[in-house]
Amino acid sequence: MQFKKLSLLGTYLSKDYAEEFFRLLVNYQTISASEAASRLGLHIRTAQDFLDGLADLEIVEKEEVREKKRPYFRYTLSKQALSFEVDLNQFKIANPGQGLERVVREKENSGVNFSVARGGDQISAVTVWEGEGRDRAERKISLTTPQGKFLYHLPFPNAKPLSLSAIMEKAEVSEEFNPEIQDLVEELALLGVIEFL
Amino acid sequence: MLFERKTTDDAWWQMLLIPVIVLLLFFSSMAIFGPEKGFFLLGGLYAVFSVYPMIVFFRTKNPGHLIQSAFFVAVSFVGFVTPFAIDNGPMKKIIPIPLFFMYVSMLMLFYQSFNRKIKWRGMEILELAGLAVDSGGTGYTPRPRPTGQVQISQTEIARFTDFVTRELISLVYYEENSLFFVPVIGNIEFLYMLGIKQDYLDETWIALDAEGKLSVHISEKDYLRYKIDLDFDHLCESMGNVFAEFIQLSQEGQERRIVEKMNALRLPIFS
Repeated sequence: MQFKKLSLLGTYLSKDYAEEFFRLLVNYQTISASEAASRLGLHIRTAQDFLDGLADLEIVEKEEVREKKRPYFRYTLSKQALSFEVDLNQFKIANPGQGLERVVREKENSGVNFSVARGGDQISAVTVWEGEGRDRAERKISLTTPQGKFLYHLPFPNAKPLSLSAIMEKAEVSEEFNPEIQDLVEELALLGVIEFL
Repeated sequence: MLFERKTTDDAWWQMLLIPVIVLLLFFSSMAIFGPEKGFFLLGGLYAVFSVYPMIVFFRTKNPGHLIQSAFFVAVSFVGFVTPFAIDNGPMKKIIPIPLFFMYVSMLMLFYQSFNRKIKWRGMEILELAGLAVDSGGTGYTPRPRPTGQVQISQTEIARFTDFVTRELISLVYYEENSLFFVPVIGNIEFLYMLGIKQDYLDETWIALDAEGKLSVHISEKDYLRYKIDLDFDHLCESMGNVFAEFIQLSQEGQERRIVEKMNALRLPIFS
């Protein structure tokens, strides 16, 4: 299942009335939005939106009917069980650009603050200030241990830049942490803390 | 050793501020309330002052501060006894004793001062680090920099930390996995000694972890003490090398040479 579809389903499942709604759908052969709304004490528009949403997700079937009045929709549950699986690997950062061979160092006058961990051997957080004037706000990025060690070994401004893999080696950060290191590097590059050379 | 200094001193007059204020209070008090009250005030002030070097002695084991404390105590005694010795008072025959101790301890204190035995060595550390660094670019960053690794045993660490603390080269703080050497720079030692300042991570420090790895952090205000823009990366590396060399000399039992290296810089006593 696509992540966006899953998050939409999550939105519907998290409604206060979702459980009662599914109870109706399971026990009724078909049901209209007005019937469900009156049964659950909801506004008809709320019931309509909920059922239409489930129809988009193909959990219920939507059928137009006419009974001597203007047409309306009846809904039938099409699935007796809900199950979903999302491949989270789709978010894994796949070596952008030259990946770990990219050469980086800290950018001069980046104007950020680095908090050193108590042990003194890694950075625990980076504080950046975003915005201008009254909108200026502090943003603190807490780092994981591999990220903290990586940043600790990042070459200084004006120092000889190093590749990400070389810095990771110096910092004794194994390659399995590559995606989270690259995520941090990308973020700090966007914030003007790191420069690619 | 002839060289061009790369650092600037803090205002040396700050060190003379307290003695000048004490003398002003003493003479003002004498003029307004009479000589007895003036001497009592002097005795009281020096009795209070004698506590501080004692605290420094207990925290660093630096013997020079014990002498300083003894001098203050002697001056305090002189202050308290003199009013009873004026005009053939009952203490007239006793007054030479505290005066004798005052002069002796004063001479000893002068010796300690002129030989830089009670001088905090932070400026020397900055100067030594700057010696090997060329000007050009700044590249300042508040991040610490790993500078290398030394082979050192627990016994040698204990010996070295005792030495640097006793010689006022740096204060030593123990963290979970690291030792932090914090050179005291810029007349702020009293903040550490009196426990007013306890967080040192924003200051200049050299960290030594359990595996012997050295890291250096130089604070922005200390970096600005250099008269010229030094390459910051090299400066941190150089400061790490200075400490690595100190550690090596300590391992070889040549601590005397560390002191000689710093004395050879001939920085002002009050820097």
